[in-house]
Amino acid sequence: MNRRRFIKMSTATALTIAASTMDGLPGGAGLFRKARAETAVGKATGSMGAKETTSVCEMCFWRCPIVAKVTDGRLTKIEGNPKSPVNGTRVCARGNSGVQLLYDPDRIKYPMKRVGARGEGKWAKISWDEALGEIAHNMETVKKKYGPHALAYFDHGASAENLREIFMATGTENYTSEPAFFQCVGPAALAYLETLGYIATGTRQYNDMAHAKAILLVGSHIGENVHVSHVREFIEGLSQGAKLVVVDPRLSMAAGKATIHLPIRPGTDNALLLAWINYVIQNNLYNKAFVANTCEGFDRLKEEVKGYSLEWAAKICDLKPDGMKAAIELLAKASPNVNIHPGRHATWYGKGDVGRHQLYAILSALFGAVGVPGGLYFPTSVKVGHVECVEQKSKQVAPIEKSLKDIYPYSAMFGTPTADVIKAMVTGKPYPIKLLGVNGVNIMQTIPDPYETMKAIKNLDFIFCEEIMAGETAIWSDIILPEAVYLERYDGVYAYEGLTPYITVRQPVLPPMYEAKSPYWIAANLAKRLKVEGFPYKDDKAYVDDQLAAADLSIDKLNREGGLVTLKGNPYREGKDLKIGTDSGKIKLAVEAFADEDLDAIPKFEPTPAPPKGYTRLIYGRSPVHTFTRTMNNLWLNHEVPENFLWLNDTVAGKLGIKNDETVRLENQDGKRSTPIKVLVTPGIRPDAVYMAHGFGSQSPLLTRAYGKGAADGFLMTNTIADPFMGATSKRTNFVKIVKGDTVLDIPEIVPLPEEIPRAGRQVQAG
Amino acid sequence: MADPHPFYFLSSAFTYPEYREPRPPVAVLLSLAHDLGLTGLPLETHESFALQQLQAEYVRLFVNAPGGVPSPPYASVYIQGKGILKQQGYEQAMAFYGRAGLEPAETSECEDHIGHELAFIGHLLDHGQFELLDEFVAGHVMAWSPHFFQRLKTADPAYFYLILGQVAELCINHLIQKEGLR
Ligand code: SF4
Repeated sequence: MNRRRFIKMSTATALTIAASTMDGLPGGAGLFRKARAETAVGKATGSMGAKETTSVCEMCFWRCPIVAKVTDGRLTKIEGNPKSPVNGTRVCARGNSGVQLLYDPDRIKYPMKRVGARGEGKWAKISWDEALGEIAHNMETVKKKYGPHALAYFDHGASAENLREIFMATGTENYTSEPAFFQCVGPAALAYLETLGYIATGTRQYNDMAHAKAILLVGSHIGENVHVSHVREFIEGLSQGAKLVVVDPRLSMAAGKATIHLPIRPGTDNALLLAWINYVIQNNLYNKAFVANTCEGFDRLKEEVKGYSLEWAAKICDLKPDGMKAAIELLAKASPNVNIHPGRHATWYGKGDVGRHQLYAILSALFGAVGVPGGLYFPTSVKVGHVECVEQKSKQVAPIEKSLKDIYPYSAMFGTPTADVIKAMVTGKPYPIKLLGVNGVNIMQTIPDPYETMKAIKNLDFIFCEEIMAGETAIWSDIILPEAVYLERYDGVYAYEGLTPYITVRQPVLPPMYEAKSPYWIAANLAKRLKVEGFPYKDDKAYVDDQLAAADLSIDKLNREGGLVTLKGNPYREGKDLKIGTDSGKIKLAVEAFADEDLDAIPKFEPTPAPPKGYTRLIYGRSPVHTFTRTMNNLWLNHEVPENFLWLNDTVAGKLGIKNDETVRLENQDGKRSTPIKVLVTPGIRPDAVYMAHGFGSQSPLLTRAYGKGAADGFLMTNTIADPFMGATSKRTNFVKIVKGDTVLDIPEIVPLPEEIPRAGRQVQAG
Repeated sequence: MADPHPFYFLSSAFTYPEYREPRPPVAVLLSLAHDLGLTGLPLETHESFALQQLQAEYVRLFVNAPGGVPSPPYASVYIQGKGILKQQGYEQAMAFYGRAGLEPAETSECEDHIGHELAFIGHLLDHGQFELLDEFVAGHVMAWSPHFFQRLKTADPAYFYLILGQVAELCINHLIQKEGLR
C-alpha cells in the first residue's frame, strides 16, 4: 500500500485550505474529542434493557399515558403506561409512530427565516436570538401602527397555551381563534353547556359506552376515528351485548357492526331526531320521573315537536318508517342505560349544528340517561393547580369599538371566530389584522376555503409559527420556530376527569434534538424581549411541579408511583347528588337564552339545501392511522395508509362508467378542482354523496412526501355557512362533480328530492 | 502518509455556511476539484456563491424543504432503508468513533452527519489508524454515502453543492482505490 499516493494536493489547494480554515470554518477536526467514558453504543438492541420514562402521547389530542423506552440515548419503543386505567399497555398505530416523528429527518431543526416569497418555502437558518428578536420587533411594530387587535393567534394542542398568554398580554382580543373549536367541536360544546350545564363533549367525552345497553351514533365513525380508550369502551359495550344504532349515509366501520343502520340523506339528521323525540313523548317512552325532577321546558318541547311524525321524517330523510321506529324503540328499551353519543366534530351544515347536538342532549335527558351507567356521566373534578405564567391583570383585552366577538352571540365565551379573523385580514374590516402567530395548526387544510386564507396571509405584515414539521404553515411563515416534540418536553399536568380519573404528566424522554425548544422556553424568552412580566419558573419542570403541588404531588413523587396516580371517580349521580350546572339547576329541554338572542329555544327543522343538479355532496371522515393532516408524512403511517379513496355509490359509478380503482378528480360548485384520487366503487354509500378521509392530498405542489397521493377535502370547501350561534363554519355544504380525464361528468340523481328540501344554487353564496 | 486536510475541509463544507467570506472555501473546493481531475464543470456564476444563496440552498438540501429534505445527510436514513434518524446507521457510526477513542463534541447535529463522518476519516488518516479506516469506509461509509451523493445529485443542487458532492464522492473513492482499502 502506498498511502502517499492519495490525492496529490496541489500547492494551490494546500494554500487555500490553510486560508479557509483561518476564516472561521466550522466543522472539521473540532467535531470530535477524546472519549471520556467507554462508548456504550451498539451493545444492546431493540428495547431490551431500556430505560423507561412515563409520559403522555400527543400523536393525537386524546393524550394516552405512555411509557417510552430509551436504549443508549435512543428512543426504541413506545407502549401504553400499564398503570393507566384507560389504555393500559396499548397505544394505537400513531402512538407507536411517535418514534418516527421524533426521528423524522424532515422535522424543523433550527429557527429559520423566510428568504423567498411567502408560500415558496425558501429558508435560511438563524439563531434563536435573531428569531425571537424579529418576532418581538414585529409584534411591537404592528401593535404600534394598527393597535393591539391587529395581532392574532391561531392555536391548537397542548403546546399552544404558553404563547397564548403572550398574545393575551398584548391586549388583542384575537388571542385564541382555535380552528379545533370554530371548525370542529364548537356547536356541540355550546349545545351541551346550555342544555346540561357542562360540556359533555370536547377534548374529552363523558359518555359511558362500556356500560350501555344501547348506543346511538349519528355520523360518528368510531374505529375509523381512533382514540384508544374510546374504541375500547365502544368494543366493551358491544361485547357486553349493547345494541347499536348508526345513522350515517355511509356504511362506516361502526355501521358495519350496527344492529340497525339508517343510511340517512345527508343534511336531514335534525328531522329524524325531532321525529324520534316526538315519538318518544307521544308513546310515553320517556323517563317521567327524571323529566319531572331534573328537566324544565318539557311542555314546550312536547308542543313544538308534535308536528314531526316518523312518516314525515321518513320522506325527508329517505329512510323507511319501520327502521326508524325499530331503532328508537330499541334505544328506549335500553333506557336509562342508553348512550346517545354526543359526537365531537359538529361543524357540518352551519345552521342546525347547535340544534343537532341540542337534540342529542334532549334525547339523553328524556331517557334519563344522564349521570347513569351507560349514559352521559359527570366529570370528576380532579384537583390540580391551574398555573398562569402571566398575571391576569396583565392580560386585559384593550378597549375596542367594533369587536369580532360581537358578530355572533356565543363566540365571545370561546374566542374570535377563525373565519371572521381571516375576513378581517382580507378586508381590513372591522379593523385590520396584520400579524399572525400560528401554533400547531395546518392553516391551509384545517380552515375551509384555503384560497381565502392564502389571500389573507399575503395581506399580513408578519406571520410566524411554532411548529414541529415543515408543513404548509411553515411554508407561509416569515419566521419558523422549531418546537420540541412531545417526547422532548414537559407540558401541563394531565388530569383525566373521566370514569376512572387519574393524574399524569408529560415529561421529556430525551433532551430536544437539534435546536428545538419547549413551548415554555419559547414563550418565556419571547416574553423577556417584549418586556412582558411573568414566566417566573426557573425551568419547565418547576412550572409543572407548581401545578402538581395542589394535588400534593411533584414530578418525582409521581414518577415513584409509575408516572400516574389514579383517583376515585364520581361519574354517576342521582337524588340530591345530581346537581345540574345550568343557571336554573335543571336540564333545559328548551334553552330560553337562545330565544333571547332570536335563536330557537328548541331546534326547528330547517332543511339544508341539497346539491345543485348534476352535483353530489362531499362528506368526509378520518383514517384510523392518521391525525388530521399531521401524520401523512410520517414514514410508518404513510406506509400503512398512503392515500385516501373516493367512495362512490356503485349505481352512480355504473351510470358514469367509472370502475373501481380508476383515478378521477373532483370539481366543486365554484370550479375548484382536486388532485387525482382513486375511486372505491361501493354500495356502502348513498348515491347522493361521495366520501373521502380528511387530511390527504395537499394541493400545494411543494408539500410532503405524500404529495399527489389522494385528494384534500379542504381544498374543495369554498362554500361555508356560518353557524348563527358562534360563527363556526360549515364543511358539508360543498358539492362536487367528477372529472374523468378532461370530461366533467354530471352526477345522475338516483334518489328523488322531496319538495321540502330546496336545492342549492350552483354558485352557492356564503350564508 | 495521506493528507487528512481535504477531509477536514469537506467536513466543514458540509456544515451550514456561515463564512464571513465565502470565497476561500469556494476556491479550495474548485482547487480540489481540479486536483481530482474533475472536468466538465458547469460555469459558476457570481450569485451562486452569494452567502445568502448558499445558506438557502444548504437548508433546502440538508435541513428542511417543503417537499421533504431531498438529500438528508445522515447515515441512519440510508442504512437498512430506515428513512429516519438515529437508527442502525447512527449506532454504527458511534461505535466506530468509540473504537477510535473518540466521542463527538457537543453540537446540535446528529453525529452520523456526513460532516462528522468525513472529519472522522480525516482523524483516522491523521493518526494512522488505517485498519479502522478500512473498516469504517468499507463497512459503513460505503453502505450509505453513494445513495446520499446520488440523492444530492438528483436534487438539482446549486453549483457549490453539486461540486461538493462530486468532490466528496471522488475523495472517498480515491481513498478506496488508491489506498488499497477494501
Ligand atoms: S389514541 Fe393513539 S395517537 Fe391518540 S393519544 Fe392515544 S396512542 Fe396517542
